[in-house]
Amino acid sequence: MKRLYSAIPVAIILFLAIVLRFWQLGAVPVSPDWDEVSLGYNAYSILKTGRDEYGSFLPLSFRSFDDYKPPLYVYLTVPSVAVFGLSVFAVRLPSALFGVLAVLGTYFLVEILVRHAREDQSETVMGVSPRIAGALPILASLFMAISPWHIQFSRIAFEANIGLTINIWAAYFFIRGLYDRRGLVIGFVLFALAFYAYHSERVFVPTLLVLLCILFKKQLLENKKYVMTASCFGLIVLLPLVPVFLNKNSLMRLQGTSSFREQTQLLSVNIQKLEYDKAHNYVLGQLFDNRRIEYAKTVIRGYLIHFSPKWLFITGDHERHHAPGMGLLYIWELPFILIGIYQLLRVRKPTNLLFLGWFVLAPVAASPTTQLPHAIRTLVFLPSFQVFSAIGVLSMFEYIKNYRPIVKIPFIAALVTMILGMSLYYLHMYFIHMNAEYSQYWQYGYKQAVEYAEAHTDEYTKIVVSTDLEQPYMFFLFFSKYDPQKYLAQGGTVSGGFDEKFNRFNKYEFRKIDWPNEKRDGSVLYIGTPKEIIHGTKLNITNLDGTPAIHITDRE
Amino acid sequence: MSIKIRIILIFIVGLAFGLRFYNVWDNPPALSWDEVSIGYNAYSILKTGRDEHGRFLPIDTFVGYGDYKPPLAIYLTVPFVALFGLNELAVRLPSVIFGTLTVLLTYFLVKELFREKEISPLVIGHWSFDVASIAAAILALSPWHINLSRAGFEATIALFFIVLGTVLCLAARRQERLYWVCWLPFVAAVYTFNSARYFVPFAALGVVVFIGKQVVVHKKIFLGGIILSIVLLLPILPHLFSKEARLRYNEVNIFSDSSIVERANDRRAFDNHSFISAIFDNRRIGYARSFLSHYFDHFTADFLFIKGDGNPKFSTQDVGQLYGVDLPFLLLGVYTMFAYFRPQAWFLIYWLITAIIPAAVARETPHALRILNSLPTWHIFIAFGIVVFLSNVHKKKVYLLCSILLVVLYVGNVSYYLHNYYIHYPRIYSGEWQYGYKQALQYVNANTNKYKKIYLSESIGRAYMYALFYTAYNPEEFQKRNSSYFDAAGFYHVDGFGPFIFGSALPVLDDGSLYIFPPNQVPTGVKIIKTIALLDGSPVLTLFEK
Repeated sequence: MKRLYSAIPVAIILFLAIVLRFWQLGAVPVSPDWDEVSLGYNAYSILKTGRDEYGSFLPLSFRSFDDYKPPLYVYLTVPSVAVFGLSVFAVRLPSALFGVLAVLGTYFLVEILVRHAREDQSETVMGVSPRIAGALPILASLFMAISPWHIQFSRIAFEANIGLTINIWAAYFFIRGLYDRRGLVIGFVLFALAFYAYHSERVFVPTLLVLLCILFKKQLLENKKYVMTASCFGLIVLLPLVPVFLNKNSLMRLQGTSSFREQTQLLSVNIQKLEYDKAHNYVLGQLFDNRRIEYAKTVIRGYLIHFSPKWLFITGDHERHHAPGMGLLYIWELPFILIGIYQLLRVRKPTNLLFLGWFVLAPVAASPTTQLPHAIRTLVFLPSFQVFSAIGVLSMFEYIKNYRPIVKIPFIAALVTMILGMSLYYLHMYFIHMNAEYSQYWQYGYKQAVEYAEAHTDEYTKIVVSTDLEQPYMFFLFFSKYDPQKYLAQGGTVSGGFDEKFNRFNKYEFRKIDWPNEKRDGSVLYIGTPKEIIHGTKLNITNLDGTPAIHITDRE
Repeated sequence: MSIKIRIILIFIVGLAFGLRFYNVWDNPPALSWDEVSIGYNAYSILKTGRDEHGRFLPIDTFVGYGDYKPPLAIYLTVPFVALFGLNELAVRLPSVIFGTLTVLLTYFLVKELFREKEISPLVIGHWSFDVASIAAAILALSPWHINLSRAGFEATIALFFIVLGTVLCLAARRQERLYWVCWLPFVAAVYTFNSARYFVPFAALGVVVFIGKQVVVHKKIFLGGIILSIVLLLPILPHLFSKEARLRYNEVNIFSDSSIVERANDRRAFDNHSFISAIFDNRRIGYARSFLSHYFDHFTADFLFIKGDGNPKFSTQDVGQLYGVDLPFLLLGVYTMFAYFRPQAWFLIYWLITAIIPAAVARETPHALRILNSLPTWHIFIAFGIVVFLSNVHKKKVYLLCSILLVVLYVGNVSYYLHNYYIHYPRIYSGEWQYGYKQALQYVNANTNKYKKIYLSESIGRAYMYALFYTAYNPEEFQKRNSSYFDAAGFYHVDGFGPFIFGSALPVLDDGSLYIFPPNQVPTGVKIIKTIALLDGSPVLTLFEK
């Protein structure tokens, strides 16, 4: 009976999570971005031929746009594409499913931590009193279910979201494994699997694992044999990835996003200072204006920038990473997150320190990279913020409980109204305004362009698509559902880099448009940016806010 | 106070003064617009009792460039101008002195705040350092406070008054007669700096709540003090609510940002003006978001720990407003103070949070100068964190090791900052300090009889004030001028006085005149006398004749 009672709120939260993640999945955000179409078409290609767009047989690292995507998402998309066909919905489905699983996982993880924390009969359980600690997993998973950050990445095909879900479940099984030894094996296998999910995971997971081992050292040492077996299982799962790690090409991605790559810009002031120091014989200056100090500052900045309240609560970063008028977290969470952290810090038990450590380790992988702060690379922050919020809300509730009803009732009413109101504001912005305002950031217009080109393909000898449109070949493969077998027979993708000069299939040719020197006689169809083709005589596709997106023409 | 504490305090205050005073006449490398204005108005008051606009001893505001400067800093500069003449040292000394005194006051602030609370001090050998002296030392070394104390910014003086007022209010708990005077420094702060005007009510409220019951016990004296300070506020009140004061405010505030309203209207139109859109597509949500966004700008890693304020006048761009090594102790200090001394922690956090509010309604954020009133709360938390950290190390050897490491880290951070401040900062950022007019005008002073007319370009800005300042032009003469006006935006312009004629465009060249213009405006075939370059070598002004 008791189990049933606790199952009801979980069921409600799961239902909410499902609705928020599946409602209009594939239609909001309005169009897939380049990574989504690439994941989708590669899954399609695997399904039909067992090979990716380059012709590699069941690869463990998808070259894609030379960013060498970790493989898990593509393979998860294969069954989805098999069932639903090659569509935006099918590509996003695995992410949405894993999003729901993450909400459930948050419940289980916090629940098992609460259970674990209760064992030593102390006065607080994860920062709240034992009497109400039972509500903690429910609140944490509820906040996860309505989290703008989590909803954002659960509704689009991004590998990071799969990694996040695996982290949560792996941590759950790890802690479960302290009681039930089989759990440990599942935990380690999941941790190993996370390496297949997303680049950041490859830094975050080892650190999280070390954290868990330190926190629960005592129990692990009692079960040495099982820990050894479990780690062996984990290592076996990890083994196939070793060649990928050693491969020079897949390391390119790391270099490509590293903040040290732009050496000249980073160090320009430094070099000038250093020369001045040398000319004037300032010995100390030659130490201080050393480039290593500049590097250290850059990495520290890269780490700290992810704790910026402006980024977290107000603005977010790239438009694809948040809804208009929203940050990544609700602003009402701010005080509760602080209270939650404070409450956890007060008792230094492993169960309390887990999420604090999680929170501190999350931005490590992102800190030496460019374009910071970055909401995807630090998606692994979740669910720590939501757990802190839950603890904060419960502690506040505990505090206010003893006040007279005249204080208590309006306070609680105000809090509930605020949470509800801001959630509705977010949903309003996400479902009503985001498509219209952000369509250009979602690379809108390809679908219409491909449809037009496909319908008129017989009228032209050649169709030239400008590479200024950013990886157009993949959009054309995806939306025309071009047969992967035929594509590979024609050579597949030749160059995935950002100059992608030589890609072509069927009648399509992907290159820069050099307008004055093009044929322009009606035999060739040109598809390009409004900058290249000022006026599309055939079709002008506009973004949903009215700005021009793609122009199509065949003559002047 | 024991002799040892006195020695420590003298050392800290001496260090603070040294860091603020050394070479202050040369670095920052030139006087800014506001500094020359403060300096010349002080000179004008000294010589004639009137400001540059001929107003007799203004006590509400100095019109200045039309920016309506608060009066007190100018009056405080008068004695220094009398002593040292019209030069960099005289203009900057008030800031240096009040900045140094703020360091001393920080000691007493912490003492009063934690009176009757037991915090064991750090003991090193025969010396013991309590939170108060460490807080004073941290403030003495603070790049934020050093930078701003080394130029004639009113903010440093206002901060002194706010800390003084707080110390007096807290001390009044034991010496109730102090309730008479403890609000006077707050009044002085209102007369000193614009941001302080918004912060003072918050600060006063915070102090009253913190003192709590004591106020009720001594309510008569307390009310007496309040009434006294309100009376002293009366002269400035008309100005505070005047059109002129609002003019400058409207220019910088976020609520005049029309894009917020436009976006809200666009969204409403998109939603066909439905009921829901009236709630969610509200401009007030836009304003709230804008406010918070500007507010949170002050809590970024770049501003606090990496680069500091983006304006090179307020930061060297190499260290943050705080040192990197401050960060862990700041976090530890905030957390532990909340855990063990909650009323004090709330008081300081309240101070910190409210001191940032005035800056957040303005468009340029983060702004180190406008939130200077949040000092020294950061430094008290940091000091508290350091004490807590070291007192939790119990093994003697580890304790010694940690102390040495801490000192090494601070020495490293401080010398990194000082190296950049003295070696690279003036060279790279002299242009930001309006460098150039002084050097040009020194030539003018040396050749004063050679030219009938001197055409001075306004390319660097406020040329007339630099001419007044560096030629020490007779204020009485200047007050009689007639070729000046206020433009549509309310800014003050002077076309010329004496031999000087100001303008941006190059006039028709004449014999017997000196022309001072940027190099790109110099016509060919003229006789170039001298080219003045910024300290990084790029030319900024050329002196030439026909």
